[in-house]
Amino acid sequence: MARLPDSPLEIARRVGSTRTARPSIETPLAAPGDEIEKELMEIWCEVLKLIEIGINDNLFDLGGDSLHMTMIASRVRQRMNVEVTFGNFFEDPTIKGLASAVRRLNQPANGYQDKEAV
Amino acid sequence: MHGSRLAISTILIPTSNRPAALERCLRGLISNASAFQHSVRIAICDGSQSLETREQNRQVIKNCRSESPFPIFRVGVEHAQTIVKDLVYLGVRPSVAQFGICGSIHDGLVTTGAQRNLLLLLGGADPFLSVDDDVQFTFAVGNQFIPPHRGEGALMRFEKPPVQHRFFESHEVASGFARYAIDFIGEHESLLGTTRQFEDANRESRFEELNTGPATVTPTSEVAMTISGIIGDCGWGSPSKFLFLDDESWDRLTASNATYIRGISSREIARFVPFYAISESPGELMTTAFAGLGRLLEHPFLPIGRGQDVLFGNMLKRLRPEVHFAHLPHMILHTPCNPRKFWRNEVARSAPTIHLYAAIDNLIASVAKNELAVDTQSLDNYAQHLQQLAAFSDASLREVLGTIYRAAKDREREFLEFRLAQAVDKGGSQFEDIKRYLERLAIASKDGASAIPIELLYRHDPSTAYLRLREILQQFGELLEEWPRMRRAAVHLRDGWLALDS
Repeated sequence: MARLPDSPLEIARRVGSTRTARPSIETPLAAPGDEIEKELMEIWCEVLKLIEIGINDNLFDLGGDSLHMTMIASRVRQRMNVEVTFGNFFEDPTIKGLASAVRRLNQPANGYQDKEAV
Repeated sequence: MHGSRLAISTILIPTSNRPAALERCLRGLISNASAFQHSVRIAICDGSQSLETREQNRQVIKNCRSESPFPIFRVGVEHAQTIVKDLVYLGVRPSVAQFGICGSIHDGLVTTGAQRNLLLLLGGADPFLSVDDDVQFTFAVGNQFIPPHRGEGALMRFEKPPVQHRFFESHEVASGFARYAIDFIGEHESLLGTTRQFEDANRESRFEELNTGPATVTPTSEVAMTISGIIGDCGWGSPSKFLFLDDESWDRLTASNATYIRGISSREIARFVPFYAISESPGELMTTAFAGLGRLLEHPFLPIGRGQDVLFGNMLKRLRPEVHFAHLPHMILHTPCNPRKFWRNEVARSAPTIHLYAAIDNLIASVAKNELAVDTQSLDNYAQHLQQLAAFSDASLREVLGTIYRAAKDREREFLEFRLAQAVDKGGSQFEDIKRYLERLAIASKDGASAIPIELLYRHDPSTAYLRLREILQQFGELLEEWPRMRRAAVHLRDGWLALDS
């Protein structure tokens, strides 16, 4: 008997079950303003295993460490085709800050926007 | 004015992408060396990648030349391939020459170590002084922070450097202490190359031994490196270092919750010794400003960024157990062009990770435990050892790295648990941070990827990271093997290299 692949809903439930609530921090929860911030928010939530994250939340206040930064960078590279550096995190370790770096680094020849357009 | 002391004749400056800092550094150096009547030549290794920045640096150097009594030379990245070709012509393997002086750029690794290698080749066997481009030639002195009655004027010898730290809330406050003019070159000359016998004969009244440790000082012992303290930006990659400070510095940092929070966020510190001190081990060697006895520094830097200086110091001690390190009781002002701060909750950030330099340092240290290693003081032996490690299978390398990682993290855990246990009142933010660090260590110990050096893991998936590590071990092993040949070649070539940009 073959096992049927998980439906998107089942995957969402399974992934969701491993995620925890956003820690209690002083920063107000702020929603993403564009597609780049939305994509980054999803990546951060996956990596940090949190249900929700605001775009102004500081990575380190959320319990992030160098390994999390590595995982985020790897997924940004794979999904957005942009190479963010450690330095980009240190400048502004928020989704909003990283989104600015992604926009800055986004080259028309191989960048996220271009990939999206294709 | 220098008596029988060695004279430092070459000042080496690595620079990259910051013409304003280079200009500030050069002008300060020229002014300081002129004021104290030294005669030196200045060699700049320019690692700037863009044509525009290199042109700006050339202009800075041209302007400074016109006002300088000292010759100033520049060797840029655009000359690297000429230098590689020269070395290859004299028998050095192309890949080795390339790795040694250009580094491993395709890994995204900063190549400060490669720049330093080129400077070592330019400096040759003579005494030299190296200063980073982001220093300013104003100084603080140790007795501003430690009562002057304690050891003033004495030269003391320690097993480990008696480095102390003070903490400031801002660069303005830190730089306010850097208000002294000192004979910077003369200070380094005063101890570089000195021996115990020299000290006994000439400086007996200033010599006071404390904590002498094992009697390894022999008539052949020499001070191979002299090291300035720094005031200003700490230059640390991670704020985790704050948690591991010695007790005296820790007490200063945690005098109140406010001083702790300010201290770990600002990056502004004084890192100093309160008196002239000689140590048997290099400690956490920082090469922001140091002098070296070229003929004793017979090995290269690992051509990476973070920690290449620590690895260099540890390798020197392993290769030449008899040498000593002198720590000078002044601090040079360290002002990076793009200052950053640490974030409040960043202090546990690097708990789960290990750096490339630390992994390789521990791999090199393991040569002493290798039954095949008869002579642990030979560059060839380390070269072979590294190449043997490079030939390990993924599984074997993973096991070795895992052992190294666990040992390093166990040491951290034991230290922090002890620090926590010692505290009477565990209510301060520092103890919350220690607990957070320990929690992250516990989580990370279950993650096999943590043992992979973070710089490689950042750019590669784990299996590629192991492959790259093996390649770097192989390349560094080959560099150690070929370094004596590169040094010999450089003796004949360096005047030509220095003239490349004239």
